[in-house]
Amino acid sequence: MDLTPSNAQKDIADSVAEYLAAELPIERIRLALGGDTIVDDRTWAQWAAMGFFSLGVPESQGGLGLGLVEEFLMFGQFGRHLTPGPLLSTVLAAHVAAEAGDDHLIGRLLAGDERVGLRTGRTAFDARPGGLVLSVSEKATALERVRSLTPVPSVDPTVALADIEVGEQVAHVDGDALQTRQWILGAAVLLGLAQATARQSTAYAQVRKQFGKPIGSFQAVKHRCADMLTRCHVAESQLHFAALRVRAGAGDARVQAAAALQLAIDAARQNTAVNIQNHGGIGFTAEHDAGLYLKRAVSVEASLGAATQWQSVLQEPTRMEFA
Amino acid sequence: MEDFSAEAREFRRTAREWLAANVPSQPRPSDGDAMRDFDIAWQRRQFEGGWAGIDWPTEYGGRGLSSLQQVIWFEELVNAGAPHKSVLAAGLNQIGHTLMLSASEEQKKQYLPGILDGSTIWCQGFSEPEAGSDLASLRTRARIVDDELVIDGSKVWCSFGPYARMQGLLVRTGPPESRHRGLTWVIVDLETPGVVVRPIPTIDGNAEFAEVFYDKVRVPLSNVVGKVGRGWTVALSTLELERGPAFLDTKLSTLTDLEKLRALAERSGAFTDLSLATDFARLRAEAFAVRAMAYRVVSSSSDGADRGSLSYNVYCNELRQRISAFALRLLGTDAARTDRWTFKWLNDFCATIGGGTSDIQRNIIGERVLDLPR
Repeated sequence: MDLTPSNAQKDIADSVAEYLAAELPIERIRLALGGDTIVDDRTWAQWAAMGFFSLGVPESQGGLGLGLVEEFLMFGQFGRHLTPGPLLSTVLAAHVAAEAGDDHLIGRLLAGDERVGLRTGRTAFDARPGGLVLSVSEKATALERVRSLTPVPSVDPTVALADIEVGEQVAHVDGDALQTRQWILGAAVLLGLAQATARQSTAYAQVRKQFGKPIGSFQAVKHRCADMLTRCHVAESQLHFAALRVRAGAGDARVQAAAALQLAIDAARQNTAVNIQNHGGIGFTAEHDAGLYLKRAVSVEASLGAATQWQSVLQEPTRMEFA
Repeated sequence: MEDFSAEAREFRRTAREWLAANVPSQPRPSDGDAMRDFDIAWQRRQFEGGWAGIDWPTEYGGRGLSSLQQVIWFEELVNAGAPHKSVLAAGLNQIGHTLMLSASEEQKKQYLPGILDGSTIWCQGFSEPEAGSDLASLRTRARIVDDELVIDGSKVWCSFGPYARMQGLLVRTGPPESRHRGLTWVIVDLETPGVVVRPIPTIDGNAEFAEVFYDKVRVPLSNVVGKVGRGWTVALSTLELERGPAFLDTKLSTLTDLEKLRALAERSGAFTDLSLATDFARLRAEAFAVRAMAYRVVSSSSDGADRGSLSYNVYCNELRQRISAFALRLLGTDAARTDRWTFKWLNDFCATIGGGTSDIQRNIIGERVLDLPR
């Protein structure tokens, strides 16, 4: 049992991080706020070419044939860098298409010709008129065509929110496996938000001075930073372990994934909130990034639907599977 | 990232098999000589079966296996319902590791086997009435006279002190104001003339704690571990600041405790209260992470990065308390009665005090890991 990513796995995460830092820094995301051009078609096509959507799709179906571990490490970087766009739903859609054996759809998704939004009830995240949306439940994961779409104001300005009605179903896969995958990848995004804000707070506490010394010297702030780090360690350890259990098809895979998601939600919710307090007045301003992390955390959590889905799994009498 | 190897699975299988046949069928007595004798007998049985000191070197009676196998052993131990509290805990979790890290070869050969086979009960002597979190201000004095240390002073909060024969004692050999530079770590036989051990009853009704008084207690200089004046460095290893897996059986018992609470809730129908059901789900997620973090902390492919061992202790100790507080909510009216859960609830208050308070541990995380100023 080794929870440390291999060098090859780290290389993938690092190259995604380098690309995002260079091509889509938060300053650029911020400049695009208010418009819908944050992720333009050229960028989306570039992501397709880089393998963002094909990483975990089998080679026999045109993908890169890597696994869940590489995929969640990539999503961790999306969280840390506040990467906008319907990445999670599009990647899951590629898995739906692969498992349904829909080669035409796989081709379109991997080429970057389709952006798939996420539908949770009547609310859609990053859906487009006439485009596809993914809906996920414990029973099945389905791809549907958007019939009508009414934009609604979004808490997270980097996410397009809408009330939608859907028409024909394009593809679907029965069972809870893709929901479990959604939990792992969603947890990775949320963990990324928690990690980014833990770093932001710590860096600020080292340099911001009051009463003649860095505020990180005061226990009230120091302890908050320590707790932010601990929440990251907790959520990250569980995420890595759960991903291995899911990859291995273990009997406890789903409950481990549910735990990973719950802990990542708690870490993201608390770290992004405490980060504002640590920054004081500047953290409350629109010009600071702290608010963007806070809003993304809420938006990602909301997009996953009712907490009872994973909490009911955590309440089941699953005997601990020590194996 | 890799799942369990075939070797790890096989180790788990043999551990599970042995435990199924050997876990004591009687419950552990909660106090007194009966508890001590029970703990010693159970440790002896593990030792004779080859299951003591999984990751201790073979020359000191251990198995010489990996930290991961040690983790697996503790998982199986907890899963089998084996007793995990023991009067031998200080020796097995703290003193033993201190001796392995800092003692002379002669001292290791003399003391380590007695820890593993259960024949010697140890306690620590660190805190004093005026030196708790500020340990470096301790005042128990040791003068060097010829080839002996002569010790005067007192210690408090010595866990298992009433049962212990030996003590790892931190004393001041330097001048009064020398702080952490003037300390020495020394082995003391508590039957030496001039030592008085007085049990201290605690809020859970037991007396596992002791204060210890020293009146001109003469200890050979050869009992010093490390060097005279270097006791702070030796003590830091005892304070397990870098050691995640210490007391791992207690940490992992959060998992089995929650399973018991789930069964209790099912019988009483407590989960019709949605706030209890939701809080249970979160606690269970948190307890799962206890296991995942153990793997992370012992992860062999260490690249010098922080593996969270400091966070691990604070996290697990506070989680234990949250679970105990939750148990009382589940009990409802029965929470007013003395039973194992109310005992555990009371006992767990020491989790965030002993071995460095959670507050001090947060300071250390802030300063040592996050590089925040003092």
